[in-house]
Amino acid sequence: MEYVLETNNLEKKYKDFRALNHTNIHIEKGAIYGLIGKNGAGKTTLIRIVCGLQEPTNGSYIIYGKSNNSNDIISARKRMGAIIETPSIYGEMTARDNLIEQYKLVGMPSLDGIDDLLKLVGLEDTGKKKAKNFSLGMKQRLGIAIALANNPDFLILDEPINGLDPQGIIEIRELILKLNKERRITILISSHYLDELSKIATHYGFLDSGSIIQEITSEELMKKMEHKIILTVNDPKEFVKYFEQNNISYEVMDSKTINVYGKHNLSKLVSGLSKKNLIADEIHEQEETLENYYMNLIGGGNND
Amino acid sequence: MIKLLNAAFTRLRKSKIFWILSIFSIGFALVIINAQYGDMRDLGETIEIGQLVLSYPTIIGIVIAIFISLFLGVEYSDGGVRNKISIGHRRKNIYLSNLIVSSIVSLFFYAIFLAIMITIGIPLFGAGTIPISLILMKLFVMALVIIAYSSIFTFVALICSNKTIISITTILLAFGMTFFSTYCYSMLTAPETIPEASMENGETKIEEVPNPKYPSPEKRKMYQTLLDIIPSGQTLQMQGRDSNLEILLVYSLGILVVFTGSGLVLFNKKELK
Repeated sequence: MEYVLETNNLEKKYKDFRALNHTNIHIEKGAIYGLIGKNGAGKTTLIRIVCGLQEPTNGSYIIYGKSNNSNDIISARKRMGAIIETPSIYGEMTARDNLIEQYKLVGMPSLDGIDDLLKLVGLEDTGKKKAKNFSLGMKQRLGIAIALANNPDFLILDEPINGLDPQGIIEIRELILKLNKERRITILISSHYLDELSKIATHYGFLDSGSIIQEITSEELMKKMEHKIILTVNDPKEFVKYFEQNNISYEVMDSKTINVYGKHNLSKLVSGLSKKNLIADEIHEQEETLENYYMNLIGGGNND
Repeated sequence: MIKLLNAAFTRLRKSKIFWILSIFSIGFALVIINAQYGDMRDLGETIEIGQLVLSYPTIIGIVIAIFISLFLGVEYSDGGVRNKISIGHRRKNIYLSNLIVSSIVSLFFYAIFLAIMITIGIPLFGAGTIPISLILMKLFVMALVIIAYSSIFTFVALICSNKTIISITTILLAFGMTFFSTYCYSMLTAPETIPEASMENGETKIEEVPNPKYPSPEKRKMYQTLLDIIPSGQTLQMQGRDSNLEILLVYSLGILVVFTGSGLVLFNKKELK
């Protein structure tokens, strides 16, 4: 598997506080990796370390095969673009001037692509308006344009939809999908807006108290979040036979629990089972959202 | 490094504070010429152009502090430093490029002042009596003093992350250095004796008595050393005819090396947000 970013037991301590605790993430090429965690879980700390703003206390990370302990990490970073918390914008300059500045910083041979970038993020008509007078959504889009100036292969977006109105959220979402599909940019996006992330992410990493507690693809997650009926039974074997004969998708979870997947009419299922003298001790119907899944994963009680 | 410098000069062209301080430098030169011309015309004073060209550095520390606090001060608040690091620029290069830009701009402010002084001042006041070699030597040392100033304020701007703290610190530092060096200079130029009037047999008698504020040899040495070290003290001394330029040159280089060296070490270790 080719990973764009891989971390190995990354740790970060601030005095007595451990912000990252043996964090291991693996971001595949071409993925939109949703980094999910509540406030203070360590998302921004992880991103700051990957972007070189802070040094890990222990552990290491690899970007495009280059370890942070080697000098080559600088060349790997040249393939990256990032927005960390707030976009890096000079407020006194226009959108175009900010992009010219970034083009010079990354050493682009000409300024030809600036109009296309402004068009891509929908800021082609901002003229002489200074960036400090932009709306939050416009600033965020300008930040993305700046992060795209060096034609990155890997884009890091830390909380890109924070504070945006619904229209702004939709625009950023569409832009991210476009960048991933049309430009094949691998994207790491951190957020605590889980519903939004579920609309774009192809992979997820759940971060809690500085540790990745699960990495999962969206397909695997969808399967886990599928509508299901949970049966508590005494003898799963007979139930399994029935489900096999009737082509019903199921999974034996343990010696007493079977999950039945798919949209089934509960009363029809129960009556079918009764006809075969299969009586379940308990039956629960469940449909999970990403939010529920995350809460169950981290143990809902300690969530804020 | 070249990319960083290229980007910084691009931003400089759009910087309001750069243009305002450039205009101020022109205005300051014109005000000095006008005031000196008035003295020459009304009081018949002889004006030395060689002394006049060294008059701007008295306040150039404050001008540099204002420029750096506003130009580099936004590097953290607007995310410039963060952006440069995340796209693969080395911290060492970021620090040095900022120092180079600050130094070049500070020298530029002085160069504008000089250009006005020379083009208008020489026709008005004449070439003066100070040997050209001495003026050139002083200008060279002055350039180093300006770079030393820039290194101090660049250090503050890149080690502190807060824009307000940067502005307050650099400007207070500039004023503090100016006032402190003026105090040291006044102590060193204090007369050893002062006239004291006394009555003897009904007659007023004036005699020279030791000045109680005249510093002891140890204190004189201390004031002189401080004046040599502080950039504003160096500029004050250079306006006199008998300043020790070699020592001032060494101290300016020392300030540049100490502040840039420690700035690079601290900036390299700095945890950024």
